[in-house]
Amino acid sequence: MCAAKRVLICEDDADARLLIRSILRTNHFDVAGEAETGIQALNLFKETKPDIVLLDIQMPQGGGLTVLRFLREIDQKVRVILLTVDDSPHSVRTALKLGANDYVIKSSLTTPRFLQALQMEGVLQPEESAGGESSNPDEAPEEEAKSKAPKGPQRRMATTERRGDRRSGRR
Amino acid sequence: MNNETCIDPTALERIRGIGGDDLLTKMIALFIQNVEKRLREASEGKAAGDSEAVGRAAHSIKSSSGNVGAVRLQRIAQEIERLAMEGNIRRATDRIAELEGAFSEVKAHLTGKGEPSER
Repeated sequence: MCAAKRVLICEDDADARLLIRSILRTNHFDVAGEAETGIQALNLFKETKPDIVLLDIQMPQGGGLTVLRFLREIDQKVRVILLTVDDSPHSVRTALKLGANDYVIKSSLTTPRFLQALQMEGVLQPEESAGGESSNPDEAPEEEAKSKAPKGPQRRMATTERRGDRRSGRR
Repeated sequence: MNNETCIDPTALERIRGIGGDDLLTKMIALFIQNVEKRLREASEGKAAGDSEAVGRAAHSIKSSSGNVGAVRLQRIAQEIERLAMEGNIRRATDRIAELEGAFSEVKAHLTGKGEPSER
């Protein structure tokens, strides 16, 4: 029997954390930790080594995109799901370019979409993002994003590697 | 008054479906606590002429409102956030009273249903 996946919740609003925690426990995920700031998120990530990171895009002391940049320098393979209030094409594209595997709009936390994001393997492709709007990754303005972002096929490759790592007992 | 929905009941039902009345009660209590705190921060931001602080507070209210289906409150918060982030602090802060009014309505609706009382 597979061990429950461990999830690190990075979210500054207590009500959202409570909701996420409840959904995770109801669906047999373990909560590895809860961070309220970007700095806490990175510290807890190093400490708990979770399988999945839920990362609020807007947090004090380091927003989700900033945390994501640092996090990908530490670990290229952990599944990262951005939490956002809206599906602004700009922020979604930037997040995916920086190495997020998926994103969930917060008002969808109580819908099957959230569980789908938690349970699926792989990476949301840019063209699937931002409500179907045109999402050419090269349009994202962040130079840092351009320099670090793997292209879609490379991200798929990373996912395959992650599966291999899990089989070999990386965690 | 307009006809915009104060609370989308399906949002509350979804929360109840996940964790029952206990979760719903806690969520409503935390929602009220958070929005009251953020409204104070928005007022402080207004007094300090700090549009980023106003925008951050509005963003948090927008997010929390979405969790409990407070549709009108979410929309007003979203508009204030946009104005604040554009640096239009006067137009943003002019609407804080409207935000407070919408929150009072939501709070009365949520607490009037026998959900958690004021903290």
